Amino acid sequence: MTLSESELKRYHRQMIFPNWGEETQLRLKGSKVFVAGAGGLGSPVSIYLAVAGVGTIRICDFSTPELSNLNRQILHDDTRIGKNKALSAQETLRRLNPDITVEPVVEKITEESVAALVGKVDLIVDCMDNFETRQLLNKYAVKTRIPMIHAGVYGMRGQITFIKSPETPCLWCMHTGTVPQVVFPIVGATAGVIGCLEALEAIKYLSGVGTNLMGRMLIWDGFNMEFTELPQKKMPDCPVCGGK
Amino acid sequence: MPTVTCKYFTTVLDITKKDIETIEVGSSITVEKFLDQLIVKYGEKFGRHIYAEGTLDGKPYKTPNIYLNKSRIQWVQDFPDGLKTRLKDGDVLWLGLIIGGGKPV
Repeated sequence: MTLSESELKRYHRQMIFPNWGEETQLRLKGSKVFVAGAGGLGSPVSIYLAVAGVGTIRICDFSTPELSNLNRQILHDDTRIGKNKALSAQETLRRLNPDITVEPVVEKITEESVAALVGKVDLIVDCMDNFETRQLLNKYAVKTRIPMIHAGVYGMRGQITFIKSPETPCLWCMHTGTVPQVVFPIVGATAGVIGCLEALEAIKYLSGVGTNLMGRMLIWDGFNMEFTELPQKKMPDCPVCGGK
Repeated sequence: MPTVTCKYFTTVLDITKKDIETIEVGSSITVEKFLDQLIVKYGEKFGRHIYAEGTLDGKPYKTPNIYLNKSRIQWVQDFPDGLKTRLKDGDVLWLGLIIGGGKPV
């Protein structure tokens, strides 16, 4: 695998980063990431992974963009209403970076389908809007030892952590099960802030540059512009990861 | 009388309509009893947002998603007595801290 002339130019500003260069860029090019959700979080995540040169982005969403999504789901626009979100994402990402591969997955993630839909990837990025699917992804990530970046947003708040079982607590250790779902308030920029943090965590992990939020939950309060970090611990009797 | 501070976030805050309150508690009240009192005060909907309830691999669970002084009550490393932990004057409970909601699927 090599980098073309256009790729060398496209990624120049990140390749001049200390300890990056062609080797690290090739590592990104050879990486495959599963982006679970092409909505508020999935938009900035997939856009920044694409322009950074992550070789294969497998983006999954079974739903279609609605007008009420467009204050935050910047992968889509008015012309995509009614089209599947994963297919819409593929169109946008291809336009942003024709040198990468985008694999759209148009099915819903369920207990039965999660293994086939996620497949063999280097990293899972949780961009979901519900905890049911998050816990399914967590269970799969723990079982396969695929690292997973978890994030959530609400209003002007957000959270993010990096899960790499068995080194770190799993999502169940931090938040058991699900909670009742509600239509929640959200400003697009909130999804932008947290989605960009997820993308950065992914790029750091795949490139081997910097350190990740392992065992730490970063909570962002946009109302007061404060970041709080909560150390996370394993639940010794965790039914998902076993707390080991 | 000892007091504890409750900080409410996200969906829980939508129910309590206040993000912080200080509550006088009886001496040696447990976390579990205190949560029961909050559920009486704010209603069953509040309880459904505090306790996650369901089954995992066929096994039922009912677990509160709360933090006490920035640690989850389930981390027995910090709270060997779990929900039977007795609250102390000045304790801070975080409820709804971890965003768990989403639109109905």
